[in-house]
Amino acid sequence: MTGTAGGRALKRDLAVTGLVLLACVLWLAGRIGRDDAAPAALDSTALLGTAPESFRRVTGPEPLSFPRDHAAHPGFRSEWWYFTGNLFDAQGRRYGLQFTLFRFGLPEDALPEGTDFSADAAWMAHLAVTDVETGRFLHRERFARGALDLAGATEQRWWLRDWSARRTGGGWRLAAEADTFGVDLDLRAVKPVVLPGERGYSRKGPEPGNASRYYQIPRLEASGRLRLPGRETVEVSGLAWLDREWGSSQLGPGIAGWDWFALQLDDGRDLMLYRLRTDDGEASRFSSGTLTEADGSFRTLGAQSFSLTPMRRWTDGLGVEWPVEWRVRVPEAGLDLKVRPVMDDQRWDASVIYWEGAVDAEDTESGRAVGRGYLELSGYR
Amino acid sequence: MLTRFVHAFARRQPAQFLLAVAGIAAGIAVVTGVALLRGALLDSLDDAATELAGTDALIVRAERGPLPVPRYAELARMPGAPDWVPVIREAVRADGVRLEAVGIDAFSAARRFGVDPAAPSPAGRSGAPAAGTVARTDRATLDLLGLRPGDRLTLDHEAGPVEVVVQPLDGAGPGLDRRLVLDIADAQAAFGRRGTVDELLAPASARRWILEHLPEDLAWRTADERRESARQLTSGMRANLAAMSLLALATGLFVVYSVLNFLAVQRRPLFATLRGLGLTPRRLAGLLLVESLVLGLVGSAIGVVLGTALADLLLALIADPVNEIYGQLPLARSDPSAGLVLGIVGAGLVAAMLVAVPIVREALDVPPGRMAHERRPPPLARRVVPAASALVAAGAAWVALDARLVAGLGGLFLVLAGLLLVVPALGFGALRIAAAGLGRSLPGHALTLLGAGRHRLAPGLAALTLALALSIGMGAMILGFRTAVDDWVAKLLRADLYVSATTGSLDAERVERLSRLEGVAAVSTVRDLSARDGTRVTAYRLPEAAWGGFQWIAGDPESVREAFLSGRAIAVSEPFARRRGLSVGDELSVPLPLGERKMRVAGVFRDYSTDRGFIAVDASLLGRARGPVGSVGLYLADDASRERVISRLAEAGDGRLDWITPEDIRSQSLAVFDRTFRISWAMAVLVACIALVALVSALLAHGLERAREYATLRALGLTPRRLGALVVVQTLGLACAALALAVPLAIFVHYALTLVIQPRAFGWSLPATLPPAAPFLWVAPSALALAALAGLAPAWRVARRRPAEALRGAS
Repeated sequence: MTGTAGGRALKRDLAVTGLVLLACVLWLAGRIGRDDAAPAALDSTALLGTAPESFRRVTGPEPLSFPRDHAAHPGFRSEWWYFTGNLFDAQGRRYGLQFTLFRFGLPEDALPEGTDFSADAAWMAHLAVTDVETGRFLHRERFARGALDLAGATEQRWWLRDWSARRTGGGWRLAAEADTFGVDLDLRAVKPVVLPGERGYSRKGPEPGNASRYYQIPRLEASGRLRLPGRETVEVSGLAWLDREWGSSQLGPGIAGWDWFALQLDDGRDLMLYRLRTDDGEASRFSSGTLTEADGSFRTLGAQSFSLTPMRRWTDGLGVEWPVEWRVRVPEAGLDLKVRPVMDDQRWDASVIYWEGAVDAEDTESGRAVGRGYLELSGYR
Repeated sequence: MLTRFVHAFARRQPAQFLLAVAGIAAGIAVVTGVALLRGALLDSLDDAATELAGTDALIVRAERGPLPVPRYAELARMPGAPDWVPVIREAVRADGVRLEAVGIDAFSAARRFGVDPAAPSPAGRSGAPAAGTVARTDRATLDLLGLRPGDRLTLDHEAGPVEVVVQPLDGAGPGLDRRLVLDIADAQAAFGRRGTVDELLAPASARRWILEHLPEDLAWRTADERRESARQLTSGMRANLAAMSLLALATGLFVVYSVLNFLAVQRRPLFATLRGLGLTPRRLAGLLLVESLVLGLVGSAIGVVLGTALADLLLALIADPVNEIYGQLPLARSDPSAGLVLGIVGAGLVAAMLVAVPIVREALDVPPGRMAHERRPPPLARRVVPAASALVAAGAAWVALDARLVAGLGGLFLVLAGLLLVVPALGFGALRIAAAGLGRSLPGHALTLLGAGRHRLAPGLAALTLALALSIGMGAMILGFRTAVDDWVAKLLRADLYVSATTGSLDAERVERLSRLEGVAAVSTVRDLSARDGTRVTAYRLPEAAWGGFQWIAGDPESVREAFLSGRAIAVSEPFARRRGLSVGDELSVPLPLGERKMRVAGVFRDYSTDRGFIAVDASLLGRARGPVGSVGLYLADDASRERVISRLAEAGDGRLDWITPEDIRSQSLAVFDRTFRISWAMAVLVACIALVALVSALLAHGLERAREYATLRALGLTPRRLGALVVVQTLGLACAALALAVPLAIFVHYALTLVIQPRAFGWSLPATLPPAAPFLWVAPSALALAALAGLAPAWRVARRRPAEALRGAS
């Protein structure tokens, strides 16, 4: 035996032993622990972009009738009832409010028989209160299937479990209690129904079905109570906004998301604008808006009539950048506004990740506050 | 340089190093396997609620039976009510594997497992309605069933087969093992469950609302409480498993000791040379310790891997009985944690080091330059008898003074350890006597030579004796228990037929109709009630003929009967009496439908159906709340033919009745019994195999040590063949000695398990009959045959060695 031969054999045997150990470690590593991948969030754009053929499409203007059209529209893929608002308590403290009911239609051929749980739709409700003073964004998500009266929307009532908006003489009574916070508000419409797009036919893409039915009540007077964690119930009042929309596959191809503005101006006008963002970050030609005058008359704003420019981005814990501050220009209405959030973190951390928050609007030139509203940012990753 | 020496040696004797690694791996594998199995029994026990509704989930059920759906809807709409997760649970089988189909409403507080709530059906179809009912399960269960995502699977359910498409449930923990999650709508439709749900889950945050608002007729508990009661259920089984694994480890350590010892013996000349060349004792010790550390590391790593695989195999053996007896689903596969793996590898290393200590001491005794060192074996008996007596006394005292299961097992350990200490002395004594009897023949000579190596061979002999005693003793206990269960079932079943509803229970009217069936002389009824705290009460309506079915352990049969039938007293099963510390004459608060009632215990009866135990009451105590019954026993008139009654049942039952004969119940019970004890058999075989490895390595060491004697024998004209025969005779001699000593030890183990461990683990006693002979008759020939086979390896080694070489090496 020579030293070198022995050395080589030693090295080889050490290598073999090492490989055996490595194989054991690798095998065990594969067995230790379970796959605990967090479920992926829903893609809001995808939700609105596609729908099975069996769903009805919105393909042209149709007259709307109330209260009939306050109720759900079965046969369409998606529909929502969307309240947002800016509220103040007696001490002048500021709160943001969002209550949304989403309905996702299920294909009829997916309904099993012989069950109590057969549902034509899945419902999701989002309730959020922005407590500006404490910097808290309180939000809660709930689900229910459209069975056993667990959720639904009729002319008189929109509800999910015990959260509901009931129709009153002049508007709605919104009541929703989450674990640590809750709202109980009377919402009285002070403007009539506004129909964006072509009499409520809101085109969002090139295909005939890339559209939704859209109506809004841009100004409701809100008064009532908020329950906040660690505090007594507070009396509040302010202005709210109702947005209603339904359709199937409303977003055209190549749309990455949208930025939606609902601003209530001190001069009595209300401005709704949305920018449909293409995959390369540009505004789609189907972006649109509506300007409602103080007297309730309104006109549609085409994509060329306004410009929306992000001014500042806020980065959330996941590293996603949200353009929370904007410059909004509508030359034909004489508006050049700076829109700033009342606080940056108003991002929904739930099944759908999006940013929905209370904002202030000020005149760009004078810096004077000219209104308040809500901003919704979706499709950012 | 030293490393090279060791390495060069290892290359010349690879088999010994591999044997050492195998010994450690075997011991570690059994410990790992059992540790993981215990975990598998605990971790998933009814942890589905936590998986589905989060930590500390709350479970709401109706007091009895399922919850009507309208009731759920009402609860779901109450102000402030939590987002209940309605759940349906159905037992199914897929390819013979027991599973639970869990139907949940994913549009609730259910944890989301990457399932799109906007997809057509939450747990169900994902965008492709034509695909069929989707059942989601975790990857471990998919692997268990040998399925890939998208595969079709047929579930056997009592209502008929159900076709599903399986999809993975990503992010699910072990609590969903062996469970298939379906959308509740699909589950209701597939299993014919329209109208009811089994339970409602709520997140932990709902506790306050539940405390304040939950209607009184609903019961709630936390998932933790439910898991805790499941934990208690299987505690006896787990304790037994732990005891077995420690025994296996002890046997494994014998192997390691024998092998390391053998290696040390073989290298004695090398050590002597190295010491002669100036190697300090310290460096020699270091060298040996590092060597056993490396062996320990490699052996432990392989052992953990094998143990994980072993746990999966054992799990397959145990899954069905756990489900049948405890109604629980264990994990789909064992689930090692990093902590457990590191702990076991660490323990393996420590054990390897400890075992190496006496060997190092012996190696250091080798004087420099001396080729051999004769160590005088210490007089075994004189040294060990006091220690053995102390261990036996301590063990016996522990068992006598402490009534817990742990004391029973611990005491048994101590007594066994004490008895094992004297085994080598007795064994070699017996061999010496046998050798004397055989005189100057080859076998006589072979056995005489063994005596000189007893120091080397003692651990192997003790390990083999222990393994044989455990295998035989356990086998005897299991067979004795089986006979007891068989007798009990045979005596208990007095009716000629037992009838139940295909689904649900039998109402009073149907029972009445059954009793009027032509040929039926009398009927008995059984109704099970479960109280809020889990106490089981069984209400009996028994005719005269059924009374002989009870075997009374305490209480006078006649007075029990009189008090029981008049509703003045109750009877309790033996496990119940033992768990609650009850005896005849004690008072007990019995949860009855009309409220709790204090009643006197009139008798304690033998029962092996459940180790939780139950209270037996007369059906008259239920008053008007008698309600539907679970099963009805039919007692036929003397002249009635069973076949004819069965055909009348078929006509009257309308497909809604099931019936079974007592013979079938009996054979089914025994089948369940056999499945339950498969794991004990498997463990006994494992321990015996490890012990054989111990014996082989001990013989190899002995053969080497005796190389000079063997060489002398060869030089004196003994042919290699005869020399080989001599070694085989030695192995057989050792096996015979081990067997002879194992028999009394096995009888001891049999009685210890029957009279001490069974009652403490499960609450029931077994009749103290003589141990059945079968295990002795199976084990003895197999042990001898295996020992003869095992002797071939050392025989071949010894016979192959050239005498001149051996003599030179040893001179």
